[in-house]
Amino acid sequence: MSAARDATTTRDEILSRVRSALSGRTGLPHPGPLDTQGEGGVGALSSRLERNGARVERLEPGAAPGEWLSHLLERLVHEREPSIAVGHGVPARLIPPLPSAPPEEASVGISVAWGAAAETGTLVLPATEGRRVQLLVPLHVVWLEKEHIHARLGDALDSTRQRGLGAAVGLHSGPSKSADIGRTLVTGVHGPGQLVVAVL
Amino acid sequence: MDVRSRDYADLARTIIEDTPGVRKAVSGATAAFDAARRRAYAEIDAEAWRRWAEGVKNHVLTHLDQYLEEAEARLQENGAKVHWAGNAQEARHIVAELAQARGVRSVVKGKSMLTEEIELNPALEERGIHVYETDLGEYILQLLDEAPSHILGPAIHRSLEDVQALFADRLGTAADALPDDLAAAARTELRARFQEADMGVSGGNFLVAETGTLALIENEGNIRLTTSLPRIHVALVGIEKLLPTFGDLAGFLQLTARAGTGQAIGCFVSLIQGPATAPGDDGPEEVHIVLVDNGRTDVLADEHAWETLRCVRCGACLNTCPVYKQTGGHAYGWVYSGPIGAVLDPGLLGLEQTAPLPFASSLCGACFDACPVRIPIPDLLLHWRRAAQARGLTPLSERAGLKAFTAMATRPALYRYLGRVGPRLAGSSLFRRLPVLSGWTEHREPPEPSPRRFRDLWSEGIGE
Ligand code: SF4
Repeated sequence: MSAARDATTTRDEILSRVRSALSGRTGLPHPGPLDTQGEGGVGALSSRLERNGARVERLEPGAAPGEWLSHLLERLVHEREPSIAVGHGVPARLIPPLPSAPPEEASVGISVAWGAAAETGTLVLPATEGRRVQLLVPLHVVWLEKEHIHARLGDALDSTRQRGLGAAVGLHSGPSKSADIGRTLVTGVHGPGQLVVAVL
Repeated sequence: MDVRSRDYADLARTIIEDTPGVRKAVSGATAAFDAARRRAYAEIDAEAWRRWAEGVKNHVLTHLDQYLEEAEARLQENGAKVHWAGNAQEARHIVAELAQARGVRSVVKGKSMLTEEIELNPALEERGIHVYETDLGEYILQLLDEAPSHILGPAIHRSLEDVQALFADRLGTAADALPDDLAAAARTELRARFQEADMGVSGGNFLVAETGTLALIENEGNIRLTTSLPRIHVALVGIEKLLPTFGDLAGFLQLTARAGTGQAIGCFVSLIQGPATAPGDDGPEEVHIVLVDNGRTDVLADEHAWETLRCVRCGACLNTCPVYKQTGGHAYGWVYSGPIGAVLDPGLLGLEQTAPLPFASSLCGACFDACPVRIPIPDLLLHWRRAAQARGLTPLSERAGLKAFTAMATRPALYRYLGRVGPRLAGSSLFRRLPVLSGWTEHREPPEPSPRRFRDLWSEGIGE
């Protein structure tokens, strides 16, 4: 018997076991959507993100975003010349004038979020931006447009779906952390240890 | 892992007597998780959310065949390959063959209880493939060659001192290195493994039928790396992990996190539809989803136990359980421990191998109140107890001993008292002398009330 036939047989056997387990049982209805009643706006998003261990910064009115971020990074990165890795979708005006490096070497990764959810402090990051920039750097800066902030996670996910889920979407809601060693919180275990959300 | 659940009493005794540090570490960690869960539930209408989640899972389970077919079709459209495994051996075989056929030399893994259940690592290692656990807790356990003792915090039974000694020996860190330094050492070590791995293996928290979306929740980022960097991603997913629609995800992602760790959501969630398609998305070329039965259809057929299939593996029932915290997970003798293990393991493995587990509970009902999908664990404990008794699977003395042990576990004053008189009862181990208490506990087991009332009855009947 070929491997392919084996596979089909296993599939059909499992499905038929499921059907016989369910035979005579009433199918129960889906309860409909859950209303999580989240609060919206930059304020709600910021306070949730800060609780999650992230940092939220708002672009000063009139400031040039690239320059502004460059100054911010001077304060946050204790390196003489921080290097940056930039996601594919980041427009030129949002890129600070700093030397670039591949994500595995850069001190800062810069992405643009497709959206955010205030109730959970979540940023929506599509894979098409490039996942390494979102994951391999010690400090991750995410640009976010105020208009893209949803109150509820469900709405943020819905609008992502309308734009196209693609191969993968990452939801980032705080810096990488673990309490696996002696119950002490450590950050930056595998993913970025610092998450900075820059609100436009 | 080998099933040792029949030895629950001996395992529990050995842990309590020989490794007192375990009780301390597990009690501390679970108390912190439980307190965080309570705070997180208090922020939402937890009752409504839990009823909703119960309803969605009941819907999906009672239409499981349709949703499995829908998920398969969507995943295939997305370019992922779907495999079906009837049992552990088939699941191991599928992954090992995939790896071998593609010349895989090393595998990085995200935390997955299902891969423990099917004993995947030894099957890969047998074929000369290196397997690296990348969750920090799992990494510690892999170095120690130990099984996880908690669904979310696999190494919670190990103290900082244990990890300091281990890493000093294996990674060359200082004997008094701080947690930050220890984590940094592990990160450096594992970063290299991520870069060289050909295959990433993960589990799956949810699989959305409507969009073919595999959802993975975590805090470290290792699962995102595992599913992004290697050229092949294989996810092992129990057939009960389905959600009907994409709209259901937001509720489950939040409720699972609140129940498990008290967070609003995990720091990282991966929503994976299939292999990389856009240039530069840094994703795997191949995504394989292995749908695993391994006893789940038997559980689905059981008119009581099928409710255990709603479980989202959040660990909340472990964290709130006065019996689990005495020993951690190893006493239960298999992958799934604590209250959910005590009702799920008999369904997945059969009662012959697991008969003591349903007796390892005081029926206090706290697990039901914590459970985000309202699994009536106390009812199910009684269901399995009756089944075990009817089949003569658990000797009376052992039953009595376990009941007394669990009663004691929930009654600190009595526990302390026994600790004082213990040494005077020369020559008898803790468990052998427990049956003397059976008369005390026997009449206190509530008849068969609904789960909601267990705790009330219990506290009325006993009082501290
Ligand atoms: S039984 Fe409920 S509380 Fe326990 S792990 Fe499963 S979902 Fe969580």
